[in-house]
Amino acid sequence: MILGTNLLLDVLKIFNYFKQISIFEFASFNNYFLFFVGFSFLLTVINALSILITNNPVNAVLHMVLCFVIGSFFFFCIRLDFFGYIFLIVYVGAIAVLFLFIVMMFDIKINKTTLSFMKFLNDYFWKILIMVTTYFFFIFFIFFNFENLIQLKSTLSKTYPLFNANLGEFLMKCNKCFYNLSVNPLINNLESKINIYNAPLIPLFRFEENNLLHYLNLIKLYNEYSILLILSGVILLVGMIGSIVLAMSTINVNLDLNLNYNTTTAVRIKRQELIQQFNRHSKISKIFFKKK
Amino acid sequence: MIFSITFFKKIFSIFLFNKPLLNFSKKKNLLFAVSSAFIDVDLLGNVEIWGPRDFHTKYFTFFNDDLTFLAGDLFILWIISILLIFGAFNHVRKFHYTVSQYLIKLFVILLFFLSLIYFQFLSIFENTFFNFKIVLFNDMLILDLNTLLFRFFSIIILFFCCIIFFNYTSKYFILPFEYLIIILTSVFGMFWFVSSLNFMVFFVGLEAQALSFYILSSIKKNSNASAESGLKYFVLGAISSAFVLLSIFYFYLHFGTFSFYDLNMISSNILEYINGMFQFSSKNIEILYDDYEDLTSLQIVNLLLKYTRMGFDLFDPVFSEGARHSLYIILREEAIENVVYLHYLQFQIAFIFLCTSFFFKISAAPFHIWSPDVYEGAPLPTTQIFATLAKFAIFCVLLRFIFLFNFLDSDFTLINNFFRIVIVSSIIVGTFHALMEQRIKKFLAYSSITHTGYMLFGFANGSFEGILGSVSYLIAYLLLNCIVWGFLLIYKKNQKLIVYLIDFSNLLNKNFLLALSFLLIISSMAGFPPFLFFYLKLKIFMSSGDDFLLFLIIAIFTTISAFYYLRLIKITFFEQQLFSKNTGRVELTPSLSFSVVLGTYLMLFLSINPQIILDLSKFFIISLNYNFI
Repeated sequence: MILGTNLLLDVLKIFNYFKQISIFEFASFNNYFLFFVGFSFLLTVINALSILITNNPVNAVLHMVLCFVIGSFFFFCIRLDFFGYIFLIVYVGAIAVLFLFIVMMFDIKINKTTLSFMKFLNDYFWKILIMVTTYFFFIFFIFFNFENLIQLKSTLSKTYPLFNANLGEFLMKCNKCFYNLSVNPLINNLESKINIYNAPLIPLFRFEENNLLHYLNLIKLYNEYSILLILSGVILLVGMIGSIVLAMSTINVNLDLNLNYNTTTAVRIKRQELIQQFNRHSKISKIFFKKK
Repeated sequence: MIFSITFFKKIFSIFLFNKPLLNFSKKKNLLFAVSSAFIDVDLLGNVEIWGPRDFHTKYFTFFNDDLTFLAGDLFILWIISILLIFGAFNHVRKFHYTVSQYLIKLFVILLFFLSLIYFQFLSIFENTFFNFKIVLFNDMLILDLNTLLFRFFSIIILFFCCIIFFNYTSKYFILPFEYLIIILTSVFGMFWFVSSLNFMVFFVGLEAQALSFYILSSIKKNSNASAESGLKYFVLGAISSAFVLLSIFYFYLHFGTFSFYDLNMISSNILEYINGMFQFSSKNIEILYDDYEDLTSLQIVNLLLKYTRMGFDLFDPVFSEGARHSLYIILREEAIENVVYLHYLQFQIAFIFLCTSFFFKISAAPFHIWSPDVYEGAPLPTTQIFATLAKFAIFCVLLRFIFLFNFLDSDFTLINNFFRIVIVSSIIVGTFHALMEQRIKKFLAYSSITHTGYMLFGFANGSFEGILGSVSYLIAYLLLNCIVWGFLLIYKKNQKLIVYLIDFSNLLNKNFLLALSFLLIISSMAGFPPFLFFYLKLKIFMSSGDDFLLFLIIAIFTTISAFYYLRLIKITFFEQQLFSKNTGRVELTPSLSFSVVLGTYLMLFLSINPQIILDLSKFFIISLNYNFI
């Protein structure tokens, strides 16, 4: 009886919770929020275009999956969690994966017409590389709040300037530049600008204790043991890359050590020809027995 | 202002009492400085630093509190993603299926940025006089001076590895671009298991490192030897990780914790009880005897049986109730003693299981069997990584455990004896195998086994000086191993690595300066008097103290080990050219010559002034000592 009543109470609490609070509670019109929304708009457009452009149907399905994921992200932003979950579970988890399996089953021949975009990418590869790396380098440091470090330094240090590396302060200046540029255009008052200039950074996601996931003890993996999650993700990446590296065979790699780098390259992948395998005659399989 | 006052108080306290006023190990909260600064100061002058996380623990905030201190580690993940994207586009187009030279250059530049970040963090530690500890993510990770110095040095070692990798791929063999990524993942795992404060993070980090090492050893798909080495390393590494799990199981079974701080408290209490210094305060008993009553009931039944066998009959009506009660109290005390003694044994056994896995990975002698074959079969950059980075990381972890479990000047006799066995056997095995060896890679592997024996020699006695000597020996060993593996890439024209010792023959006439630097490095590895290793070996031997037998065995085997190093020098200088394969002048590439010149110069400089290495090793140890303010 006690168990049953407890469970009922739990369920009631969960339903009440659904009405009140969403899981990802955003700070209202934060800079991060604006940045993320804008960035994800771009991503949706690119993905939707690439569904049409790509020749390989597998890639098209993958782009569709990405579109759905970003759509679910939007729903989370507008505090419609339920729809977001349904998008993820139904469209991505079930339908799109089913599409993928079906597409991979067929033996589809791809037209080898390269796009102009890819040619552009090939020609200006290193220039693009440098641009993107520099861009992401600054983005990486904007997310980290170096204010804490500088406070620590200012409080703890008293004229001991041997290793007075000012990298942190430089990055803090970068942060401030970012704020000034990305102030919400709706607010043009001076005071608000000053406030934004001196405001502490508000986090993007807040996992509260009244949360649904916390209530079900599911959030501990993302809260207390989040380090383990990251590390296990790294291990999975190692397994994936390692299996690809060790299993994929290459042509023209001989034991001869005098190599010419100008030779044509190709990557061979073992194709499973299903029709041949199913329609194999019994005589073929007898070959193994003949060689006695 | 506040900080200066506290600093003076600290200095005065150290001078007056020759001892810190408070033990940090007893007060747990004092250690836990949390990210953003909020400083409290005690009357005694201890600085406490509180973060917003302690006031409202409800919020876990991304990008704000804890991840700022892990900016460098997360930067590694960022580098991995960048290399994955651009390597996937680049490798097929221009080159063979190899890593392109541009990518290696980009990798080096990003590593430079990474070292800058760690330098920034080191500057903070510099301002706090190296006594600063940051604990992150609910006591899962720690950032010491030790861990940060480890990160900094490992990146410097990676630069040397990159030089060898650059030369190896450009002239000799093919390696895919994923090689760099897998190196980075292994380094990521290392960083987090070195700075772990919990067995869960420790084990997962260790696995991340080990998995990537299996791939690194078997990545050269052309040769059967590398595949064999990878498989061998995989099987034996799996056994070693099973040992780690077993030890974690033992710790959890007997003490009920994963966290290292609780184990530190438990070990200190056990030692105090055994020395007769244990004070029955409420906190200590809570830690030692959580399930006190259950254990005592079991123990009492056993003891009753024992006493009945001896001839006492407690249920005889001759005994009054008062006498029975007093007997009960006596039995209870004896039960406590038994429990503590059991804890004392269990703790040591669990730690020995942990140490076996460590000795597997640093290839100490009874567990060394994989190492020569794997060194021989794996491609050259991976052998260098096995010889340098893997050993460095696991030695750092061993140091942390030794300080956490109060191993210094302690009565853990089982562990001491285990260490002694390992040291003696590793030195004997390494010397005798290297005497017979013809192949250079296996030769270096056996010499590294002997070197691990010397490095562990400091731990055997458990004195502070010995550990200092062993850490300094480790640093010198790393410096030399960064250079020595580069000598296998000398021959440019024949497109061939050096396999045998005889291939070094008559190097004197081919390139004089190269032969001279080779002589300097090999003679320092042997430990001849004017060079670096002589002083460090002396430092370690002086710390042996009463163990005359151990000292004698090792002194004999150092003289024997000098023979095969001398043979190598003889081959390079005086051996006539037996095989006329390698003729003409030998020239190095600029990057290799840079590494060789830098290494030899550093070696000579440090052999003139070895105090620098000793000071550096002190910095390694200071932050590990939990009873030192």
